[in-house]
Amino acid sequence: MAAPPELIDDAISEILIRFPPEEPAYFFRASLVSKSWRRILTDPAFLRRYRRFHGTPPLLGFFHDYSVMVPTPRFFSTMVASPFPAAAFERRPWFALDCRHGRVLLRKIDESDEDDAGIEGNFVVWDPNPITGALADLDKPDNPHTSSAVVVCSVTGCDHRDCNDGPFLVVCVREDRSKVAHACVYSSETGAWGTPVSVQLGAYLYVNSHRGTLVGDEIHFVLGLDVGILSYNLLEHNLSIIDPPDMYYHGYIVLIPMEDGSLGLAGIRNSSLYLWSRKVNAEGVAGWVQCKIIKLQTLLSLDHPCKRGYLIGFAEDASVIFMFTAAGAFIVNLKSGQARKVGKYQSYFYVIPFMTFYTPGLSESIKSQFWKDLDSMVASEVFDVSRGGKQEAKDTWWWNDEVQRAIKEKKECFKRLHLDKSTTNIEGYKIAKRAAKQAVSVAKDQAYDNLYQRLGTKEGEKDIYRMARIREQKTRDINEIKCIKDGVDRLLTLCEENSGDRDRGSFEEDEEW
Amino acid sequence: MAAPESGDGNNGAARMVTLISSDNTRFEVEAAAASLSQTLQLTILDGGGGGGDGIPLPNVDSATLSKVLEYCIKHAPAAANGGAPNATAVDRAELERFDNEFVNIDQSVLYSLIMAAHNLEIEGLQSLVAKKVADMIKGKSPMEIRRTLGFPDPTPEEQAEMNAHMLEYGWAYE
Repeated sequence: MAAPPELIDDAISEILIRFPPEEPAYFFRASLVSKSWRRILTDPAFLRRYRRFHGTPPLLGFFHDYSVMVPTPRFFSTMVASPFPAAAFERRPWFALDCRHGRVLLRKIDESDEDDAGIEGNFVVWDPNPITGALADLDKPDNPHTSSAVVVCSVTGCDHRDCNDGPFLVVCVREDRSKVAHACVYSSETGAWGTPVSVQLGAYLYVNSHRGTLVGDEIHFVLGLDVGILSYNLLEHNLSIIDPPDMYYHGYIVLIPMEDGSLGLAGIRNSSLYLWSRKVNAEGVAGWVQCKIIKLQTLLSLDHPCKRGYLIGFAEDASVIFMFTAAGAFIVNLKSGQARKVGKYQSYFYVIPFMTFYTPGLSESIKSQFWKDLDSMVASEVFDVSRGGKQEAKDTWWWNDEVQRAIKEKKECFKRLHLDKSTTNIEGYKIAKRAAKQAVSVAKDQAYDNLYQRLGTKEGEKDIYRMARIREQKTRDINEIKCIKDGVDRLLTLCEENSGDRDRGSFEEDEEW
Repeated sequence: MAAPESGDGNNGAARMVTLISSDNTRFEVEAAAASLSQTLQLTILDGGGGGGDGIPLPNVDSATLSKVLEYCIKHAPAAANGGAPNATAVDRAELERFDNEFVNIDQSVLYSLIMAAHNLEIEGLQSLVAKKVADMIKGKSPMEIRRTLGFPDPTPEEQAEMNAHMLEYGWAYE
């Protein structure tokens, strides 16, 4: 058979534009077919057309913080093949707060040693597209404590198909000790936080850290304990409280935008999922209308009754909610009624959907630079996070004299700053902080380079086993029972494990090394 | 009762045009069907292609052209209705069934169809074939895609470049 004629670029792009955006890895594979394919797939004009062709960004997965006290960012992929480097979302020095209109709102984990600093560092707005990809570093609001925050495009009448690089707003909400909820708005156009507005909360309410829900010009946040809804109006710049349907929910409620533009609510009670919509009646009074009740057992296709379920997130554009039950974590499509198991049972906090068009960049070096930039932008001086009840030992094996000196200097500056907030002290602290950061990154890079080179050698093999063993020991319970003695010190049981097995098992777990 | 006749007036004397493939085969089709092609539409509106003249299509061979025309003839009535807003569900289902079967063909034919649909600017056919090819190749490895589309084997240079990128993108193949 004669070789077929060379396909013209137009024909190729007509084919490639039909690739499903939910599977970005397909694009990466296709970009290796030939030079001309690579050229098309990295052409900004083509990628813009691609985004418009598919409309809203696809759901690629969910971020979740697996513990309230220690925000360790984790990522659930909903993709068949991931286009992200294996550890792209593991133990990053930030956690996700929101994802909307092609942007992700991140918060740096501020691992300063001083206790009053907390973990709440600066906000970062991230456009995850490696082509247009950009990061905007926001100052902290006057009061850094934040329960929940959202990022929204601020262009009126925008269809949000191509506004990643346009202006945006960040809305932060929190409550104070006297049960007053505050909302504060950052505008990218003014580059500053506006004046906060507030509203009094009931005694048994607090602002939940769930992701906020945008419906029309209002952003709704879930209030916890005694369930309620806190609504911020973007146009009127005020806060109000809405009562949820008159039912008690075991577990969280999730607020979702409905197709008709009304506010929707999903909640679980008595082993069923209830869906509500907030409608205004003929007299102009708003109230809740029940739209659907689905038994969890049916919804999740379980072969046994499901007594409890917890709603922990939603992705409005994909019409899905995220929940977990004793049977595991599920992504439930509200339109099709289909559920997909995505994780085993464990306790989940809240999840933030990750929705973006992730397409091949101009070159791989630009992309890896991009991930580096993201890290250095949000990097705090010590990478491993440990906060809260159980303090873990800090990862310091790679510290050298240079690092210790720089960090000591930084601490000194912080103390001075704490006593006297003068401009010189602020500047001094900033300089010291930068120097410490730099020393840490240099030392760490070098240490890891040396380590990886060493691991490649025969001698390094021993180190791998050693590291695996240490890691395994760290994860074990402290009060492990090895033997029990009776009243006269006679040994009753002896639970000795086969140490050879233990080593092998732990090595398998530590594949990432 | 003159209404039915005047309504069907065009049908009785539907205008025909002649298309000539690259290997000099002549095809006679209704102007309405041929007009699905944006390229041909202008010529036909100008009165071309009628009688013994014919429109030469030097880029399309007869096997491909007959396939293209099969699509045009089937889709012409719906297109005449302005994208068939009032078509019944049965009609639409029938067209869908036709489309599915239509692209269920040998790869070499599919390949020339892509080119023909582009040269003749037949929007519906373009997207139908592009979708079929996208479904065929999505998720495949670069080499599989090349083979599926009948590309010649990569030159050593291309292969080296491909390998280098594969290493970088290793995680995309898990």
